[in-house]
Amino acid sequence: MEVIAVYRESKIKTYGLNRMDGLSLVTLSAPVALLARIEQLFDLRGSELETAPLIAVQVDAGARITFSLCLEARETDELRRRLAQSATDEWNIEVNVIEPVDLLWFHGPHFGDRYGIAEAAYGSLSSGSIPLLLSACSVSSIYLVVPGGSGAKVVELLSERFEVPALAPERDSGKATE
Amino acid sequence: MEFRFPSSACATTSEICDKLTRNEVNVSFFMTRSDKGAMSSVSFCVDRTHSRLVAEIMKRAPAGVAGKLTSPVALITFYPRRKGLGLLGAVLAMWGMKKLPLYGVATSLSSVSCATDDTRVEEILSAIDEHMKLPSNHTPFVSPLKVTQSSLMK
Repeated sequence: MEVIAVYRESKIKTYGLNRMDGLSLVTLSAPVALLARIEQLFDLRGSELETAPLIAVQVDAGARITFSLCLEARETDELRRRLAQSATDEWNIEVNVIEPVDLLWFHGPHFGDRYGIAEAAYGSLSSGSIPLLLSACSVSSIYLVVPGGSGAKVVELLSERFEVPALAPERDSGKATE
Repeated sequence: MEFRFPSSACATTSEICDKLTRNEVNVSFFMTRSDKGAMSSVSFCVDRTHSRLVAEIMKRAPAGVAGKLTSPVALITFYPRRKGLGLLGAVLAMWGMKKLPLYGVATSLSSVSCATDDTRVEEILSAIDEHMKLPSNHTPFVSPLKVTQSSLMK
């Protein structure tokens, strides 16, 4: 069954815009064959490296796989420690860290089913000449990684194309007054 | 679809998106990456019905932009992710053990989405059945409902 939707909105609605500043963007590149041993490479159970708001994985020409993770500083140190413990020279892992970076993410109704969402997001950054270090859009979510200190400007630019809901003002209690 | 271009051409990503939007093409998966400031890449998935249009975009790409089209591709999304890395690790380990093709992975707050070879989906579903536990009443692997956006009000 197919549902055809028509959208009439001056700005694209979102469920809210989130931002984390001062993170590290860690990129790990390894041979694709290491994928089967990924849990050894990222032995995370019980470690401090439990959360990473964004992870993107790309495979380059079937030869190397690149993991890009946005982490807080303490988690970057934890990952470095674990790699030093578990990785061997023959694994041929390349690590690159960019810091600080700011991470922004948002999602909205039917983002995955609509055209123009990516254009609105990337066009906003392009209009402000904000370099984009990494981005990932899947299902209804959009994640953007920009150089540290750019986050506030990105929020401003995105708000021109996307509607970010504001908190509703508190209602009075309705108590009778004398 | 994957495009690679010098990172100095930062407007290329928005230009690609603009072309897709003008032709009312939805992208269900989109990733960009800048490699040490030298080269940037854009990867995205579109419905197979737009393959010809995307091939045209690739042909008319400006100098310095290299494009590669992979087809057919399937997107398999796993829920729930819940911020942790456990689900991602399990999914990638399964992919590696079974030597399944993988073109890209993106996570969101609630999910892990994997782009893979559409001709091997049955094999992947068998691997999921073998290595993961799904609820007995899980949602259909392919949604019976397809949502399409139109600019015309009839």
